[in-house]
Amino acid sequence: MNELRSLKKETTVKVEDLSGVKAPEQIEREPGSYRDRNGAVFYRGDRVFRYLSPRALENWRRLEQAPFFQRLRAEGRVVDTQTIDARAEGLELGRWAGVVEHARIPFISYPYEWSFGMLKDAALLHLELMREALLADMILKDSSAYNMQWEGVRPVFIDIPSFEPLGSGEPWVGYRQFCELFLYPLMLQAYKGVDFRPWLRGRVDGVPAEDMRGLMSSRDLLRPGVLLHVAAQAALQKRYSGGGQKNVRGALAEAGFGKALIQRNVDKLSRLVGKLEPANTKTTWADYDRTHSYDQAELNKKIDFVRRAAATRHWRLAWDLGCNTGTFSRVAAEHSDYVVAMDGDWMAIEHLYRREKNGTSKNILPLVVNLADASPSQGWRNAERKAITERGKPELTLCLALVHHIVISANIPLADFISWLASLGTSVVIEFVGRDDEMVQTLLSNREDQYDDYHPEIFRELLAAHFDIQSEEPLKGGKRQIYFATAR
Amino acid sequence: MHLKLGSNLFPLTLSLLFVGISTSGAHAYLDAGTGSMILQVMLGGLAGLAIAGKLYWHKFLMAIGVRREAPQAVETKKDSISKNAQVDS
Repeated sequence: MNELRSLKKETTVKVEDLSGVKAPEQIEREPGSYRDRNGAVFYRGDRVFRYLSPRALENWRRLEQAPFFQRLRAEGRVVDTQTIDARAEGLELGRWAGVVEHARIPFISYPYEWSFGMLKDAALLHLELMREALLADMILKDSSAYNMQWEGVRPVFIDIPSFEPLGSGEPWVGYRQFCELFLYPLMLQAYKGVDFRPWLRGRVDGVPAEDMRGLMSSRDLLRPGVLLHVAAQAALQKRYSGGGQKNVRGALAEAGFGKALIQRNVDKLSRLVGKLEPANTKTTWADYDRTHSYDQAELNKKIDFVRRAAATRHWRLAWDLGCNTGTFSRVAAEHSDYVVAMDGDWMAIEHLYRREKNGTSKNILPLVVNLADASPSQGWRNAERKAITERGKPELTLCLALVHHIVISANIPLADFISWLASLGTSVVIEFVGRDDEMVQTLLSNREDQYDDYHPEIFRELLAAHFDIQSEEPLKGGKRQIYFATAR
Repeated sequence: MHLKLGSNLFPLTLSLLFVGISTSGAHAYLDAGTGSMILQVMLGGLAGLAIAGKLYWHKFLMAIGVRREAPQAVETKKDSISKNAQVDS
């Protein structure tokens, strides 16, 4: 895995523990890069490297020369990767045969934070890479959705050693993983109208065929792909689950299993995935064209405030929390290297993703994140997948029309929220939505008002205690107040 | 009901192909899953049918005692063992 190097020093394992390499102290091993013993990702400063085993190095040399790979790399669909002279870089090889350097991914994200369209496009890119590789007698040896990352709204494949020569008679080893991490989650949303993200977050290896089969009704068996990819696969896996059975791989090779079979499967999967769309979204889709309570003049006033604040300097990383369809993410993007736009509403993120995909900006990454239940650190040693705050902290954070949801909907104390923001070391553009605002009144209408802390004076006091308030302005005739406050 | 029967029947029929088939080692850090590998024959369309036919024919020959084990199977076995040895060394 190619990960940001914002990992805490104390959580890292010394490189020599696993690789036999004596590591200079500034090297940090990526804790998520352990499954394939043919490589190991590590960081030095802002740079991302990968050790390669003799076998992986041989594969890489072949891949590097392959026209299909050169084209994909030039198009930015696989991460830019170069061979490194380890000695010139002062890197000890130990048992490794070589080192490559990868271009850095601006912000690591995981499939359980992607919208449907993002997972679908990542799946289609994976199948496209499979198709290209097969034509060159190579294959992707695994199909982990975590091997896809994003440059803005463009998917990028990062696991270069996954490309291997295709052995004669070999099946597609990653087929099952493709189903578990791409196809089944997409089917869940498309066929059942079920949010796939909790399923992916709940299990690092994705949705097993057996579980997926259990979720399918008789009617679902008629839907494209279910009979074969779900029902048949679950039944066959069950039939062979006891272990001790004969090795089917050899039998397949012997019977003449060939590349053409994999190609056909890949082509059919591409058509299947290409047609999947999220269920029950037609009616609610249009609501996203108008999702705020501002008239145009007030909205422009708010946009101007955000733009003035964002323009005070250049920001490396900005977050837009509760971004909705990204109106203000686009403003922040004018003055930032990269903006991570987060919202708990997946349809808002889907809307933003589709719009940015057809647009010109290249530096906005939309993610489905509910701040009150944000992605945790999980997987092996709780370090394989990192919490959202462990992947690079923002220099600027927008919290617009958010605070009332945090305090009233999610019951998070205002003081807690402000001190959490301060702990990120970020500057903020933050909007306080007053009690007389219709949005707050809607939230309060069905619950007991226990929110003694939810008052403009308390809010300002808390903000001033943690940040330096640079400017502020009333909005919506005084019902709301917007602040620009810098980190202390 | 019919659907359920159909959906279970055909993978089981498919799995019959592999009863008594020869073995060989394989190297990949990821387990392809035996059931998922067998399914790939079905997913291979016409080419897959040809392979299924070949496997049935092989089983038929074994059943009537004409053939015990395909000679290629033994070769495949040796090949993969030596490959594994190389990787391990």
